[in-house]
Amino acid sequence: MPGFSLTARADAPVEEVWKLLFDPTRFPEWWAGVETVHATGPGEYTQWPTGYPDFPMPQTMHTDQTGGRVTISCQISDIDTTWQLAESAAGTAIEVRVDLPDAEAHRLDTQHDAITASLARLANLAETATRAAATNDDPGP
Amino acid sequence: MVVRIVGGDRRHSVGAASTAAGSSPAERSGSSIRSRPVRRQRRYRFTVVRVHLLGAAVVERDGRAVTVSGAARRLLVFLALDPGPHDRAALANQLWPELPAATARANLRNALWELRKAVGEDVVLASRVVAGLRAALLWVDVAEVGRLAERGELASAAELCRGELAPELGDDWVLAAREQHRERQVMLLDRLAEQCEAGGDTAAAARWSRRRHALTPLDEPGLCLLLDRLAATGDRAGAALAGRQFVDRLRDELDVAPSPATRSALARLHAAVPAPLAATPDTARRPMFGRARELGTLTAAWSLARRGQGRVCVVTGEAGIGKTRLIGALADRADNVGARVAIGAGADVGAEAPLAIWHALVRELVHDVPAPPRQAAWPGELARLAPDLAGALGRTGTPPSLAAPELERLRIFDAVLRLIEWSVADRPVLLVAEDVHRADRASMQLCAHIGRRTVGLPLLFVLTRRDRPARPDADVLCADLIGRGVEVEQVVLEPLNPPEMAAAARTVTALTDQDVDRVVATADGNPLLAVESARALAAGSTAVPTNLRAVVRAATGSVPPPGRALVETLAAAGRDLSGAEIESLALPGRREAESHALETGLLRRQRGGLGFRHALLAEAVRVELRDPEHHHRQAALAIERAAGARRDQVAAEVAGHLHSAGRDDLAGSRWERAAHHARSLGALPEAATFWGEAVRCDPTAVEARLELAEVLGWLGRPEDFEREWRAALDLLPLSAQSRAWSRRGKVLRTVVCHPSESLRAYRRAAELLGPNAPASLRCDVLIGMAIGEASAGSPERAEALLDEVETLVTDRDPGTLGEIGTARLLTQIRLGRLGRCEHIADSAGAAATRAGRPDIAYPIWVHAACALTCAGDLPAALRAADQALAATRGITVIEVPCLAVRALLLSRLGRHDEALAASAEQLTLAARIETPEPAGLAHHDAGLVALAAGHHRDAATHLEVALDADARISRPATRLARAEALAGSGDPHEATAELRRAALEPVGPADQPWALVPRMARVQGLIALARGDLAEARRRLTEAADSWQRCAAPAPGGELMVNFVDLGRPVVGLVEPGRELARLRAELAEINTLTEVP
Repeated sequence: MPGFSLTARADAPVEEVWKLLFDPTRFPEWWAGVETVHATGPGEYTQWPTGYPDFPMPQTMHTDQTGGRVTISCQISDIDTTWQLAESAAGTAIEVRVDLPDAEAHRLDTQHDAITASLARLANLAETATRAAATNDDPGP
Repeated sequence: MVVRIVGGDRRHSVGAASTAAGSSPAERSGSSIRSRPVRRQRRYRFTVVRVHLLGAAVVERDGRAVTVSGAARRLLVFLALDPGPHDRAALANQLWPELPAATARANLRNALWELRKAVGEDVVLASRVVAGLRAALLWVDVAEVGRLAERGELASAAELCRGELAPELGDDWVLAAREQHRERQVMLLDRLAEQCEAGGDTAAAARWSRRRHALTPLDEPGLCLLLDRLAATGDRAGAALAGRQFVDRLRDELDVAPSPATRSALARLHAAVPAPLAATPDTARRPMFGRARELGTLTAAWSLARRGQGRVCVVTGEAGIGKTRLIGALADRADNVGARVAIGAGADVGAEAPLAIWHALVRELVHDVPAPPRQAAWPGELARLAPDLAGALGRTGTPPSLAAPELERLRIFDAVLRLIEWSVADRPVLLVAEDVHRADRASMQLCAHIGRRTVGLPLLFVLTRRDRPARPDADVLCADLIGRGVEVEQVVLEPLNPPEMAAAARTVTALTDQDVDRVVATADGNPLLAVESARALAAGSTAVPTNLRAVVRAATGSVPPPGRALVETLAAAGRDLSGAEIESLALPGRREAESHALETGLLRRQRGGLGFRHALLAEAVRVELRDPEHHHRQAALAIERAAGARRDQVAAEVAGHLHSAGRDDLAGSRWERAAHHARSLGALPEAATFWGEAVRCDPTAVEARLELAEVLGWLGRPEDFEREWRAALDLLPLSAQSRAWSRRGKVLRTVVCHPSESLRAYRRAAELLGPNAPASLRCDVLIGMAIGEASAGSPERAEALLDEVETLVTDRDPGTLGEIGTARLLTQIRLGRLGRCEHIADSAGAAATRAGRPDIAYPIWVHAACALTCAGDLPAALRAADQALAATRGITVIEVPCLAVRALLLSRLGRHDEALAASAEQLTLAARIETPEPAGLAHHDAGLVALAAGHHRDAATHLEVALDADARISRPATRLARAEALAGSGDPHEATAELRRAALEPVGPADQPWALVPRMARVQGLIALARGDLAEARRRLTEAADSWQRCAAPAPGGELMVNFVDLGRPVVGLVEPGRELARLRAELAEINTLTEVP
């Protein structure tokens, strides 16, 4: 089964990355190629790829308590994307593993590029949220 | 004076429906009583009023508390001492002799009126000329003592004598009755002591003598008997103390010196030397040497424990080093101060029933404790251990079992704990579990449970163990107790030094110095070997035996065959055999055989039975057995015959002996019986072992394999479950496989919790159902399918299946009705018809409650409470929770989850004080349960309740305990709740750290991650608020609100099903986006208010 693994580091506390990763409705903000997400129920949602508003792709989010991982599975393509977070100094280490079925092997490079970009955007978004918190000044009475 | 009433014995009270005649003798003789018609004619078979005049005053009517005070109380005592009619004028004069007759009669009239009001008109005889109590409707303890004594039930009679007769009254007639009772009690105790002495039970004889001496503290013959009997137990120090106190008392109170007889008894005491072995009864104790320090440690622990500082002592030492002897000395001391002593040990050979040690301990306690309150449920629960244990406490029948074996175990543990708590209520208790190195696992678990609860009780719990073989769970037990703040004394017995060994050897017989030196050199610090070697020399051996095998060989070499057979069968048995078991051995010339066996010096008589003086002696005989198979078979059959109705309890032991006898053909059915018994006790590892043995005896036994598979499922061994289930299936023809598939379905929907796989199994069972399948099997399959469809399939199909079941069910047993009720509830929940759940629960839950099946009723009520919570009908949900609680009161293991639901619902309703009280009760009860899980959950729930009540520090503490306990809770959600509590208590720094830990917790589907995201944002807002950063707080709370709004609300019922399947505590884990949003909006509004303040 073709696949790849990537790692990145966000200069943001783990809870900021965690919120982005566990909330599918925010995927369009950082996941490359995802334009719209509509939650359909706990652990289930449908996403529409960028440029394909008539092409719904149901997804499931599965959390693995033992391994501390969260896996996003596409019900159309059978591509699994598994994420794992860990504290790293004052920031967060992010690891992602993508597994494609043999039938989707030709999309390996595309997926690699998309997830690489997504990783960077995820880290960036979490860092932005952290900075916002740090610079948020209460106007006060 | 007011008499406070407590419950009594149900057996002696009946309701109004009883029939047989019960009029008083006066009525039957046609006295003038008939001239006054009784307004309510009631006829009874048994006593309706019980009056305890000895010690604490107790009166009971139909098993219900009655209060009688003042003049009515005096009248009651007088009439109860002499039931039947009394002349009214004489009675008035007797009770009020100092008053004018008219006033006395008026007092009597008022007192009679009060008494009739209190105990009932039908019990009180009252006419113009006579007054009294109807004897036929009355039970009085003073009279009962006399009756029991006449019947020879001396111990029962003595047990009723719990104090002085009507100690609160000082009338002449009371003093006379009191003296008369005291004289009767003295005779009773003297007879008891004599009987025990004649039976060789010197310790009991001393105990009765001490009670007798306490009644007549200036009676010299009584003292002399006490001194002799204490000395016979080896407690010369206790005897000397009693003698000294007596001499002081004589001098202080009477200013006289002891009589010559007493002086002679005291002199005998001081001059006493141990008698030679040959002249020593086998139960008499020899002096103990070389253990003063250890005995001092134990005695000090006992002194603290009996004052309410309960603790645990662990006595460790090699075999034969003197553990039992040391415990015996401690037990004597405890016994001599009137404590309750119970000692239990398991069997030494082969398999034994789970909780074997506790069978023995509980048996000792139930025959010694006062009658428990009538309303107490725990005495009945002891019937799970053995029906006769509950019977000894006046309870009959066994409570219905619960679906989950683990709960069965916890119920038994709780009942034993309550028995112990009851046993320490009137006097301190010394509890000894001997030889825990060979105890079964369940016994060890219960030892740990009881050990944890010793704190604050007048209880010393002593465990003895050999240092080898290693028993890690015993080490874990000690570490666990110490970690929980229990005082644990560790006493390690080292080998004795040569002078101590020599002294020990000399207690046996008069030996030459040379022989003593040889004994000491051979025994190598082991007192048992020293004593036995000395015995061998005393018996005529010319050489010192080098080991115990040589000792026993020398001792048994010349014993005639029946006596030798008895010794060898006792060795094979691995434990003492009772008189009934020895009788069942059918030995020719039993008495002679026993006499010969005792002459070996290896045995001692104990409570009518026989046993080895030490386990090592039995081991030594065992390895010398010439025909072990024969003796194991003899032991097995005798034990089983003697057990009678208690065969279940000895089944494992019997099976083990039959296996050792090479008779697996006979052992199989006994293993099955043992496995059923173990399962009923919730002892699953033992049940698996016994079913495994049954399968080994008969590999084609399908039923045994299915049972084994199920137990393996309960033990969380899915692969083994599959293997055994498949093996069973392979043994069945296709036409008979439906039932196996049905059983598989049930395991998968209950034990393994795999609803879709369960549904598949039930569907297969349905396919294989033949047209002639029994209706009960068809019902089981359809109900199982319905539950599967409701949980993991189509709720519409579930409804149709349930309708079909209703047409088939003819046996309206509560189990089936409960299953149907549960299935209907789940179906309605899946269909989103939450409002209908209350009606279903009212019907099915109430039926199960009426049938006395709280185990079936409570999940129905709890499920309904959850559904109604989902529907937003919190008052109805609370009603259902209260029904669940009412159905489970007194059964701690299932009462606790009901309390959790009640506490959380009260919290949701804003009734915080009541919620806090309920969660406090939950915590208290959960702490009584043996496993840590309920306590962890209770702390979690208490944390949530405290958080909702605004008790932030308490909440943070409780939630931390829950997390540390590793309870089955949503860890990320709990950490978020704790972070909120910390923020609320003004600690934003620690709150931030806790929130981060929440993000690092592994998340599973049961954690409902979709709901964690907005909750995390909210807690971030609250932390910002705690820091005073209002803008950040507003930003985070808005983020949380946006997140909730983006969440897809679960389909009605669907969310609840997730909870049912994954959490098992749906009210606790319920997520309600609408409520969360409303709260966030209120918090945002509050922040806006804050910012607007100038």
